[in-house]
Amino acid sequence: MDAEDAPRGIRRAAINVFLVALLFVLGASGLPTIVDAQARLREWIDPFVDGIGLWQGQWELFAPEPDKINVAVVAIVEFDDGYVTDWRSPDWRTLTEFERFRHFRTGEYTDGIRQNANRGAWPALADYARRTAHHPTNPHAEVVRVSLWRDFVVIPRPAEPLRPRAQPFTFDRRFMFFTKTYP
Amino acid sequence: MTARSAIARIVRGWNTFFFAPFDLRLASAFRMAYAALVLVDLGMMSFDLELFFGVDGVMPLDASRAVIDPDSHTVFELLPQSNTVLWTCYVLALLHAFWLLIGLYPRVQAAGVFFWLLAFHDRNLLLFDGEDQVFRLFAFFLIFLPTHRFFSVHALERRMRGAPEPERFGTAWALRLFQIQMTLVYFGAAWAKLHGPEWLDGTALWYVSRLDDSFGRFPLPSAIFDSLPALRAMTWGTLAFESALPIALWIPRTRKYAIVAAFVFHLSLDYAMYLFLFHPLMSVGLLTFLATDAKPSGAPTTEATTDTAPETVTA
Repeated sequence: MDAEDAPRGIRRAAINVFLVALLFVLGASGLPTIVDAQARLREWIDPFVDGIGLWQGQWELFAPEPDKINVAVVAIVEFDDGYVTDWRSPDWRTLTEFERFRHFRTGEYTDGIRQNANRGAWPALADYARRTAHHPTNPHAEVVRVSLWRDFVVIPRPAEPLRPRAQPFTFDRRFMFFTKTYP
Repeated sequence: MTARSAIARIVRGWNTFFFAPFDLRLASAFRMAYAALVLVDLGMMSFDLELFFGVDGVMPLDASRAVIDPDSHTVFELLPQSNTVLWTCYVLALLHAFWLLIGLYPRVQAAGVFFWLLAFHDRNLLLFDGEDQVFRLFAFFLIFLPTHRFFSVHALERRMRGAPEPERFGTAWALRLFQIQMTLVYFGAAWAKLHGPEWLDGTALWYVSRLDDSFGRFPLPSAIFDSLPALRAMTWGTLAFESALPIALWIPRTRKYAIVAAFVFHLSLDYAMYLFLFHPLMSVGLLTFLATDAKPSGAPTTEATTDTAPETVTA
């Protein structure tokens, strides 16, 4: 049974066309890839979907493989007089409940900026670290180099006896992924 | 069955699915809950607005263009690059969300929220994840949902001038879009997990529970999270639940149980994990499934609406 105010005639036809088109877009961009043809279709409609702002990912929430590392991003800033300071992404374990909520986007940024796919944004982070670095004793010192590092610890495979979840870990590996030198 | 009768059945089914009457108060309640979450989302963004979007922040416009799909564009490309412009855009987004909350021309406000969410998402893609996609898509669907009749300034104005209550039931085909999108999220999540070795061998939650940026929001029993059999049971339980949910939400006999279970599922994960507004947003999205039962036969209706709000139902 239709609603009393249900559209009729041309208007209903227009809504139906819109619905079919929208469902096609939602399905093509949001359904998981089950057959190869879907990936080709997604690639084909991608410019259109991006353009109208209805793009969406594949909803792989902690899947197919959950992350197996804890990571921090560090920018090491070197001044021309040899002084070294750093900018670090938040240490989640030391933040209060509200601070973690408020810094959620920082966590997203950190998670994104460390990935090679986003290398185009690395110089901007280095520039930001340079602009905001503070030399405590020499206001005339100039930053000569900024390097970006990933500090990380690999979560070990589960093995008996289990390592308790609450046991603190320390980042035990460091990997430099970008350097920028300033004249 | 002839081809003609098969087609007729499909058309009838389509019409029943999309054009049956729904209680519009639910759509309005959904609008308010959604807008409240958008306000929280935007409110948190204000702390770091210049850091993430400003000219002297970590992602100036040219850097953001270097990491985003070239087909995606943001209005910030057309605007002057200044923090004053940035804050002006932010305040506009905030106003649209607030006006959506109070139901002032809600379809126009939904379009405004969609526009600004898209603008900010495409301005610094690194900040946003799946929940932001749900936020943006919900704003788009809200453009087509008649939510002005109830819980709105238009309803208040109507009441103050003593006009009769509008028809409670109306066409809300856009409500189906929310339901379909929710199903897509659950189905996608289940599908991905079904193809993950750690989800199949039961160790996925071992790793998830040791991620320091997203796990351990409130105290959790170590007897469970330090026990591999318990972690395995929870991993497989999650897999089974997420696989069943996209189906159970659509079967009338199981729907109400599925909605309650999904609420509890999201509440539990929100207790255990830091995923910002993802679980509250999905819980609000579940509200749309409460509308799946159309108007019961014999339900009281009022006279045709005298609602003169500018946004009359066009669905």
